[in-house]
Amino acid sequence: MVRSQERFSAEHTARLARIDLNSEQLENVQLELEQLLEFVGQIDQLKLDGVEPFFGISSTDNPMRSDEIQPSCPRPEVLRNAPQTDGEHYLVPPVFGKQDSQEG
Amino acid sequence: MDLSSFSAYQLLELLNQQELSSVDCVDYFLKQIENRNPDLNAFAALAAESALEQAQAIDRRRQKGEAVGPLAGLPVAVKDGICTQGIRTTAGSRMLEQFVPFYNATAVQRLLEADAILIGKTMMDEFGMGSSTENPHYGNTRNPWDLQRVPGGSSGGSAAAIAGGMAPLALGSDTGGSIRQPAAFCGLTGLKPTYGRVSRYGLIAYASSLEQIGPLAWTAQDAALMLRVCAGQDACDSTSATRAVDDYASEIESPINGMRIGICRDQLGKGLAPEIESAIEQAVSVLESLGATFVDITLPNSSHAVPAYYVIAPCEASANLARFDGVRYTKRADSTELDQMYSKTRSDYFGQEVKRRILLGTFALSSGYYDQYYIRASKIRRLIQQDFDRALNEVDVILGPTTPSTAFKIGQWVDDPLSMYLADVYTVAANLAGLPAISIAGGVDSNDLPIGLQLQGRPFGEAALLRVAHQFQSQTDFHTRRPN
Repeated sequence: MVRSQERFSAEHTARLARIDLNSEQLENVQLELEQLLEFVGQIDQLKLDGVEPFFGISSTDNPMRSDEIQPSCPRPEVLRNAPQTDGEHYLVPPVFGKQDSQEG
Repeated sequence: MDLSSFSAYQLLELLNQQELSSVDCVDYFLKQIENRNPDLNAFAALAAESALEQAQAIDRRRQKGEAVGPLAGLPVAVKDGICTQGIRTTAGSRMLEQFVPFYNATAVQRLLEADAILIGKTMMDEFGMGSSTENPHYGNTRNPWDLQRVPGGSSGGSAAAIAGGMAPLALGSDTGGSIRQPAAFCGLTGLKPTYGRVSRYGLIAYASSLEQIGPLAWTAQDAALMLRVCAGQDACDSTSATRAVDDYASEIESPINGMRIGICRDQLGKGLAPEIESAIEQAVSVLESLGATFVDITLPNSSHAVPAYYVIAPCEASANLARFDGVRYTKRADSTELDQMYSKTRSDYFGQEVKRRILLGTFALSSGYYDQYYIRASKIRRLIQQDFDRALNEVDVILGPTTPSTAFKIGQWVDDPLSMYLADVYTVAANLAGLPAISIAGGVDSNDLPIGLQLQGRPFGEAALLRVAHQFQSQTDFHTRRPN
């Protein structure tokens, strides 16, 4: 089996995880994660053909509730924890650059 | 009166007989916190004012002869990863430094409905990711038995709060051992319930398929009281089980003669401190003297549990922690560009271990590696569950160690994640299989540190675990020792 820790790229993975790392941090993460991947890579040695993966215990039947409208989370309470809102919505920096941001 | 030498059950007796008022009880523990918390750093937030108000109300109700709940007037501490309405809940992260939930976790709500009194929130490893409660943002929590040592983690604050005489009962959560390992390090009883026994609503998610909220206490009897209140189906958590909750407090009184207890000899010896091994042998004698029969069992795949866990838990963490993006939860890094805002926020406000696990999980789930890591680990999870199924067909519960060593020194593993992960070697399997497991004080090592023994049981077999634990405690006094 391919030693995947050799293919781990801290830079690519950090980009996927949306975590900014400077070059020194990237270097550290590269080393640390290679070590950890070697450790968890022990699971490569087992014969697992025909074994069904197990994703966790869940109740055998999906609980249903009656289709009635229930009050949801109170908006002002929810927004209170947000870093920036207009009182009704979350506000975020513009997606497509500054000049498009005037109308949100 | 030195209330910290009492169990929660004994305190409740005093409260119910009105030999102790709830106000005096709460006041006692608040004073203890004032005196001891500066050294121990077990509490992340206090709710002194509301606790005293609640205590007054309960005292009045008792005086009037009104009905009160099963935990009426008893102070409880709650791990800071569990949401408490109006009380800051950080999960040990800078990301949530100012987060104030507008609702209670179901487990907390049920404690309050049982008239327990919330006195404060307890320290933890960031988002539960750790085994030592050495928190880079909020400081190290110290073990009341030896201030140079860790209390375990991630529910280390809850364990130190009880062992330090600052609370009689606490809630923790356990994703890979986070209730049982601190209970072991601090000489307490700590129970991880069966997956689905306690609602996870309001538990800030780390690895959703593995974790459960559960009690930490001095005794099995106390844990039984708390679990009875918190357990049961909850409309807000579709994974909570519909099965009726047992009457643990009465079930633990039944003798254990005729009970079959499994012991996995392969797990003893290598890597396990000899003093812990001899504590297990002594526990075998105690339980045999109570009429239990010991049976050798094997768990052939247990050696793969830690690597499988450190694939599955980080995978789930990488998904669960995606919600912390600078939009909804208090912290945002300055940036004029959206994508940069996400990544800068996550970089600035997550600690190193959290980033490490998110990156590990992100990689293991990424294109080309998913089958090799996540699926293979999930297949191992199946084998581990089948091992337990087979073993628990033969025996009622399984006895073994909770931890490979007693409490280690602060700083000992902080730069060595792999060694830290191996602190979970005996505990993660129960999370992978979804089974209940309890740690009880079962010895003392040559440094006068508590030794924890673990009992693992069948799905929804909490009553059997608590029963064995309670009967063991009826014959031993490790659970009555207190740190100086």
